[in-house]
Amino acid sequence: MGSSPNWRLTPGSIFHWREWDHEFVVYHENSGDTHRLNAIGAAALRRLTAGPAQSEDLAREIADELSRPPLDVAQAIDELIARLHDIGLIEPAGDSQDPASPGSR
Amino acid sequence: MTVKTLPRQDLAERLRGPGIPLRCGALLMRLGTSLPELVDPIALLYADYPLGDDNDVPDFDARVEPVPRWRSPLHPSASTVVDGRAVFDSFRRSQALPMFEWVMNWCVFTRPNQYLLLHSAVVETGGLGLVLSGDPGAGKSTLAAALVSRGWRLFSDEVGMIRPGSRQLLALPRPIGLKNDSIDLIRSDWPLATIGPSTPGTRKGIVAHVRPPADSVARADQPATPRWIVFPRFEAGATPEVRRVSRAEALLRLGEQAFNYSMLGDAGFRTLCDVVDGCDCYQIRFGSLSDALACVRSFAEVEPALSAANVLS
Repeated sequence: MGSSPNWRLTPGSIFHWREWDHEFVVYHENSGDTHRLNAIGAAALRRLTAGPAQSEDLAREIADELSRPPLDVAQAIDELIARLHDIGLIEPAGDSQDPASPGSR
Repeated sequence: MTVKTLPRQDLAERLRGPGIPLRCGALLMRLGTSLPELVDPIALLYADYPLGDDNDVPDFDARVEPVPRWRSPLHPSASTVVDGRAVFDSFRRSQALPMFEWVMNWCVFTRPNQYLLLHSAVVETGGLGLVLSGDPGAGKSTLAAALVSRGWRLFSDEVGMIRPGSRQLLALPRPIGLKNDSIDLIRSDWPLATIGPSTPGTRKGIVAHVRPPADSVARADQPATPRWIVFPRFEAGATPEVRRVSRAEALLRLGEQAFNYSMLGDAGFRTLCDVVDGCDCYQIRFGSLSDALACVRSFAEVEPALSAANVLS
């Protein structure tokens, strides 16, 4: 197992999405905050909705999904993870089980 | 029956007594005051408003009343009363008219939370709404007044109102608040405008209000489809600039300026998305009213009334 943490959505998170011209806005029902995301950010948050992931795996999957250069995506994901953590949308996955599954609407 | 059909003495007595119920679009507002100096400005600014039924329950009841002299011995003061409770600190009686308008706006900003309330001026033409959103001093009201003088319908000077689940803007055509240089600017740009008395010495400087055109008041029950979202920015000496704004950015900026976006939760988000969905969004920067109009002209017909006249002729 690598040293980088597994990241997951803050437990119980519910998101509402809208996309215009490859730009996304997401409303986080739990905090009442609205955020603007680019395609990489939206893909990462949606991927984490499916379950926890390490940033390296996240970057690889999203680079594949969006057909982007892996190095560029990896750098963007590192910055994104820090930002999403700062604003409370994600957290390092601990050993405890998440009692409430996150979701999107 | 409108306010102007009431003889002045009746208006004064009703204002001093239970107040007058005014229909303004979807809202019923009851206004009252026992300050005699407010009777003529109210008669002027609200002349075309339909009177509601005295028995209807208003969305809010706003009054401005004198403060007893013993409580304010140094200078005559007044205070605002909403739904029977005093709100805000008392103020010099010479400021009664702008405070009356301010407390009405405050009621509109805080009471009808069944609607999403955007802090915006809104004007309409051909059933399409132009939403002007920005900080105080950005030029929203001045630009709205200039567009109204060119044939747009005044929808609202201060609040864009949308029923959640609907994509329609609801009209709330209240007097347009102008301050300082904008007052003379609009006087010269719109010579036929009816402008109430100017009040100097307010927190915003000199303040005056433009009476909404009778047609805008009469059509206050007609909604509009949001078509343009514009973030104006007045900067003295600025070169005019029009910048396209993404819908995502527009949504965030409108949400930040809204009065109750967070309160409405995901319904507020969905409603705001629906508003933004059909709109072209712009930021415009200008240093003069003519530049502001030129900016708007780059994406919308500024003189729809003249265009219509040309077609008819």
